[in-house]
Amino acid sequence: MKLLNRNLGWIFYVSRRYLRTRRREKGHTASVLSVAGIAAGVMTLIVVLAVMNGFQLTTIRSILEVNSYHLRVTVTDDNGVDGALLAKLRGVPGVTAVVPFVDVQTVAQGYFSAIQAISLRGVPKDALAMDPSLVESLKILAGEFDLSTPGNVVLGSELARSLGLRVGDEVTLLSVVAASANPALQSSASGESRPRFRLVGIFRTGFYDYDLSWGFVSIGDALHDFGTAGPVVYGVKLRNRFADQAAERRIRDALPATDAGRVQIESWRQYNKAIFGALDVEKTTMMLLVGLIFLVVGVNIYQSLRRSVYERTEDIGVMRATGAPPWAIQLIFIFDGFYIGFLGSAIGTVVGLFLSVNINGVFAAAESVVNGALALGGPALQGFVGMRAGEFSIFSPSYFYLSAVPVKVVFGEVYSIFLFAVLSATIAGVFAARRATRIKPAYVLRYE
Amino acid sequence: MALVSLDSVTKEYLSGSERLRVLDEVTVELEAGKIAVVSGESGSGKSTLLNLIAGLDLPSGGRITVGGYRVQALREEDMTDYRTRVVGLVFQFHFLLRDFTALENVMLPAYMAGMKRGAAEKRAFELLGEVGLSDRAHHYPTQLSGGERQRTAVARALVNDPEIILADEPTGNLDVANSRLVQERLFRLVRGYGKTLILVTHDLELATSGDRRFHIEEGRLRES
Repeated sequence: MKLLNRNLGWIFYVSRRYLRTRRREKGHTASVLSVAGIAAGVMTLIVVLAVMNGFQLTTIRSILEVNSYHLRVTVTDDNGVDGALLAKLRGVPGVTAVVPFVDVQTVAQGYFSAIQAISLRGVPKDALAMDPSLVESLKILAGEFDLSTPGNVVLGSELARSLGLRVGDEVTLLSVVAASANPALQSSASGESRPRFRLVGIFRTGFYDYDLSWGFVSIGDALHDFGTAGPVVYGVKLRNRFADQAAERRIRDALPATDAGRVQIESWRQYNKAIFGALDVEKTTMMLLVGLIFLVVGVNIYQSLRRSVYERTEDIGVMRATGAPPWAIQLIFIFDGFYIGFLGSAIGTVVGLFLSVNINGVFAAAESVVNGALALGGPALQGFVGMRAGEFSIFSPSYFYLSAVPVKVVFGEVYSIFLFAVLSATIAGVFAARRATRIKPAYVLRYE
Repeated sequence: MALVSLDSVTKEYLSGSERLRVLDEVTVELEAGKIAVVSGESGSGKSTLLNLIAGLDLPSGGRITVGGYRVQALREEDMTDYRTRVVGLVFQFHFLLRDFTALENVMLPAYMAGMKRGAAEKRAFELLGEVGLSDRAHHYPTQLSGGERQRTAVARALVNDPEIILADEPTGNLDVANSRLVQERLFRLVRGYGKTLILVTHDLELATSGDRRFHIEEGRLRES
C-alpha cells in the first residue's frame, strides 16, 4: 500500500510542532483547556470509580464472606449436619472452606430495650477455624467468638449497642416457632419460648445491616432452641468465586447419584441477583453520567482544532502545493487531537490514581482547610454556616457508617478510561480535520 | 522533446452568470534548462498559467504535459509525486510556515518527499548557504526581512531537486535592492543546477531577462 510506504515522520513532526506552538502562543488557551478538560474528566472518572468500587466491594465482600457464601448446598430432607457430605464437599477441587449453618429469624430483647427483629446464624463452634476468610471479615470488637458453651451468642456491634448490651450480659431471644416444637422451652402461658443467652462477643463487619441485625449461636442451639429452623445449609467458599459454575458441576459429580434429587446448589450470583444487579446498574449509570464529560470535552477539542485548521489554512495550502496529499494534512490534525487526548489522559490518570490512593488523606486535608477557615472566620462565619470549627467532616461517622472511605482501583477500568479519553479526543480531531482536506491551494495561495 | 508543453489551454471562471475566459488557447513549448519570463498586467492570467502548470488548478480545455506527466489527468497520488519531484514553487508572497525556522521550512518538502530528516536538514542548510542565509537558518520567518524570506522560499523550491521552478512574481513585494538580490540568486541557482525556470512578472527590467520572453494580454500568450 502506497500510504504505508511513505515516510510518515514529517506528519508527526508538524503535528507536534503545532501542538507545541499553540501551547506557547498567547491567546491559544483552547488547547490548554482541552488538555485540562480531558485530564479533569479522566481524573474524576478514576476517583469516582475507585471510591465506588471500594464501597461496592466492601458490600460484596461482606455479603459473600459473612452471609451468602459462594455456593450454598442444601440437602432438602436433612435437618442435621451430615459429616460424610461435609467431607466430600471439602474434598472438591477449588473449594477453600465449607461451613454448615442454619438461619433463624427471631427477636431479641435486652434488659431495658424494646424488642428487635434479628437474624441468627447457627454455626459449628469452630466456624472461624473452618473458614479463614470469615475471620478476616468479622472483626471482634469485644469478647470472643466462643460458641463452645450452649447458650452463648455473638452479636453485631450496632445490635449490641441498640439492645444496650455488653459482653457478659444476658439477652432474651424469643421464638414462637420453638414453643410448639419444644414444649420444655415454653416459659409463659402465652405459649412463647424465651431462651436466654449470654453475650460472649461483639463483632463488626463494616456492613451496617449485618452489624445491626445479625448474630451467631451454635448450630446445636439454633436447631434445638428455635425448633425446626429448616434444613442445614452447607456454605461453600471457592478459591475463585467466578468459577462457581465449574465448582457446582464438580460438586454434583462428587455426590452419589442417589443424592442428585435431594441436593440443591445455589450460586452467589443467583442468591444475590437483586443487590448485585442494582450495584451493577448504579456503577454503569455513574460511568455514563461522568463519561458525559468526555462528550463536552470532545466538542471543546473539536472547536479548538477547527479553529486551528482555520488559522493554518495558509500552511495547509503551502504543504499541499509542495506535495502533501490531503490525507496527510488530515492526519496532522488528527494527531493533534490524539496528542491532546494522550497528554490530558496521562495527566488525569496520574492525578486520579494519586487522589484515589490517598483519598482519605485528601479528605482529611480538605476538612482541615475548612475547619481552619471556620476557626479563622470566628463566630460570624461559624454562625453563617451553622457549624463550629472542627465539626466539618466530609464523611461524618454520625451520618456514614465508615471509619475510612474504601477505595479499590481496578486497573482494567483505568485502562478503559484512558483509552476512551484518547479516543474521544482523536475522534474530535477526525471531524475537525475534514475541513483541511477541502482546502484548495490555488485559492489559498492567491496573492493579488 | 519539450519539457513543458501547453496545447490550446484555456481557463474559464464563472463570475455570477458570466463566463470569464482568463486563458485563451495558450499553446507553447519550453525546452529543459531554459529560463522563460512571462510578463503582463495584473489580472492578465499570468498566475493562472503557473497554477495550471503546477497542477494547483485544472484547465477548462486543452492539454498540459510537463516532464512526461499529463497534468490534468493525474490522480491524487501521482499529483503528490508531481508536485514533489517535478515542480518547485516560489510565490509573490513568501508563504513560509510561521511555526518553523528557515531551515525547517526548506527541509520540510524534502522530508515530506521521503528523505530522512537528517539528510533533508543537511540539504536545506546547503541551499540556505547558496542563497546567503546560513547565519539565518534557525530564525523564524517573523525574524527575517522580506528579501530573506523570499530567498528562503527560493531555497525551499529547490530542495527536492525539481526539474522546473515556477516563480510567480518572486520580487513583487520587495524593494529594488532585495529584488535584484533575489533575482540574481534565483537565476544563478537555476542555471547552476541546470533547471528550467518559468518566471511570471510585471517588473519591466526582469521581463527583459531570461532565455525566452513572453507577454500575456487578455489571456493570450505571445513570444517577444
